[in-house]
Amino acid sequence: MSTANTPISNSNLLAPLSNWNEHKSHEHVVQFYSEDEALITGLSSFIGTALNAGDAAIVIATKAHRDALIQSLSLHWMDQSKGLKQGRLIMLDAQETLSKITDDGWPDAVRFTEIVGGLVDRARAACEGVNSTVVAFGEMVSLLWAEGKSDAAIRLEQLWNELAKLRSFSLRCAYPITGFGRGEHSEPFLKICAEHSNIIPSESYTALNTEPERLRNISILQQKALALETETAEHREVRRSLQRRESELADILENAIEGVQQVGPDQTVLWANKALLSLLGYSAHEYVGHSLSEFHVRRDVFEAFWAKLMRREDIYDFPAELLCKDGSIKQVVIHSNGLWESDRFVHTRCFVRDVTERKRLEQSLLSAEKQAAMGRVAAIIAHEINNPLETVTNVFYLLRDHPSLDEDARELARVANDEIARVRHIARQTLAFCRDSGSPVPVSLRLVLDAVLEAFRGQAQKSGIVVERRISTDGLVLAFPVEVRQILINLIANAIQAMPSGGTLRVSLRRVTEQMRPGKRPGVRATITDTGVGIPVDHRDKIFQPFFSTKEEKGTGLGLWVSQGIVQKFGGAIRFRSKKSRTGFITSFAVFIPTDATSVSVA
Amino acid sequence: MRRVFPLHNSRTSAAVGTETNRNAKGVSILCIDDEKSGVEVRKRLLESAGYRVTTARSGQEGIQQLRSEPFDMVLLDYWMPSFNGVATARELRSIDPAVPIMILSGLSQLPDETIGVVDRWILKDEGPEYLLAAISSLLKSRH
Repeated sequence: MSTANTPISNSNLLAPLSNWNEHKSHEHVVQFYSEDEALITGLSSFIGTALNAGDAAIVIATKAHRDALIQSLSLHWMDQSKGLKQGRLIMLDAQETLSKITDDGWPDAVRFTEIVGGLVDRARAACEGVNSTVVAFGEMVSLLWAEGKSDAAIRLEQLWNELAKLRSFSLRCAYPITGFGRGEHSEPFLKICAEHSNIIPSESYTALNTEPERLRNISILQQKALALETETAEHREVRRSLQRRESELADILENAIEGVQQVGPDQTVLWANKALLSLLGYSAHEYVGHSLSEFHVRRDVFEAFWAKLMRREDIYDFPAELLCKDGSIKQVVIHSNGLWESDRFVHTRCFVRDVTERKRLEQSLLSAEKQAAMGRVAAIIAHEINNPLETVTNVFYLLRDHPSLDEDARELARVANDEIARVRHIARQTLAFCRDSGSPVPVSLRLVLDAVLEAFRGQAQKSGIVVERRISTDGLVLAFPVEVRQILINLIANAIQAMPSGGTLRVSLRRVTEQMRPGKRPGVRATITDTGVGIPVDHRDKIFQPFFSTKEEKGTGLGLWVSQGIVQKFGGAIRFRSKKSRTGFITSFAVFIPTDATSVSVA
Repeated sequence: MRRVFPLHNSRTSAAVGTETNRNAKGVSILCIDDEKSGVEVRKRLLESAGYRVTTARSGQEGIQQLRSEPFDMVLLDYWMPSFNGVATARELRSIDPAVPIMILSGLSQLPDETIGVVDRWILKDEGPEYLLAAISSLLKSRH
């Protein structure tokens, strides 16, 4: 092993040293390099040796490499200006020359032969001796490779080889080894190597000067290659597995029952799954790419949500309202957190759960419980108030004409009697709001109207009022009878009081079908019309307000307010109209009471 | 418990009037209510309209009264301790199937069973004129 560390020469090696300068062999050699310095050292030796031998050189390189080469030639080999003057050193820009020999990025054989062949001929003509050689260095192939045009680079290598069959020259190419760092480069790398007669490895190998060092290096490289191959195979498997998982997860998210979406830092929706789009009724292009704020009903709620995210808070059960395509609103709760990379917000993942139905049920349960509780309270109060009230009412009723009292006392009793009547009326109106909810029962509005009209018959007669009935239906609805009666009493009492000097009270009852009101609920409409004093224009927006009364001490101002409250409670409506006629005013109040139970019968 | 509007089940219709019933003279009414002042004042109200009134302070007492003498009508409170208006009405009906029974209640709704047993029920907050008119109307319908 005495020769183990003996320096070796270029002539007997598998690979040349980094300053390899053999140029007479007419080979097509490729040099791979890690650092520009290694390239320039080898190139300078190659070109410098040729020029010193009186041969000619063509350099087609980048400006940086040309400048570095000139500097290196001056230092180590010769005054390159002499070679330039004699025409033995031809230097061209690689990019510029490439553009001349390619057509739309692809090397053109005719133009290549014409231009590059011409250069070789010109260089040969400038040579000093008969047996002189032309050397060439080109890195146009390297530029094509760097642009990702591996096929074009290989094609250009082939054109150089074809030119070498026609003209004698020694050629060197160079590629930075860093350009072949990926597994998919293996195949084109082999093709490039196949186009060359000799290959100079990068300087990590050629810089080694002894055979043992080189052999060790080969072993190390072999081990690294094996390890890399194994790891690559493993990575490939891991990647496949990850891709499979990713696609499974994407599938799960896409087809999840719950709505999922991703929102970018500018609040734009990046992605939304089928469930969310279906919940809100949008197609993907109507939702994705839009600002999330467009779909939040309440701006302040959205801003609070976003502010939490920006504070890096994880958000659970955040209540919000989202706007659907059809204009309806979905009550949702949102779970969300942001994906942050360092201090950069990448996107947020939002899980959106529809709680509209749950909220509605909660609300109706709450409302039903409240109503039931109020109903119980109302029943107790009604009993506790009505008993003493009846007694006091009866007492004053008796006192107002009592023979043992003088006229003053009887007058006071009359006042008390009227006031007590007022209290009774207010108590009844107020308690109407909180009757026991129980279950609604089938009620015939015709029977209720008949009874109420009968109750007011005496009063109507006294005021000279003619009652007209236009009743074409039993008017069956599902309702609370006391409430229905309350509404009709209020409206008929108002109508009678509006006609102190007589008039006509017209009461009509009509069934309203779906055909008459497409898209609306069917029901029954009761209309009470009088020819009384009318409703002044400036009172019209006040008549449904509580405590608004035009009857001075006689009215409580609660009747219409209570009636409207009851009607609205079961989804109906009260409308009125008051217009001047030839003889006075015609005022109509129409009450619509909906019913879906069209086939019910009277209880 | 299903509840219905009293007017649906009334066997008569009431007419409201304020004049004293000319036919009230000599008509006997049994008035049953546990509220002492309430029943006393009601007695005087009915007497002022010309009726002859006997009071009872409980369902049981009222039943005893009807057993011992006939009445033209019974006016009965619904909400009484131990023996309520419905139970009392049933018992009264078994003694005298023809006697008109009117039930008086502070509640705005009553169970079906009550409506089925009595001839008419009215609310206490209707006022004295209405009560008198309803009694007169019920009596008229029976004669």
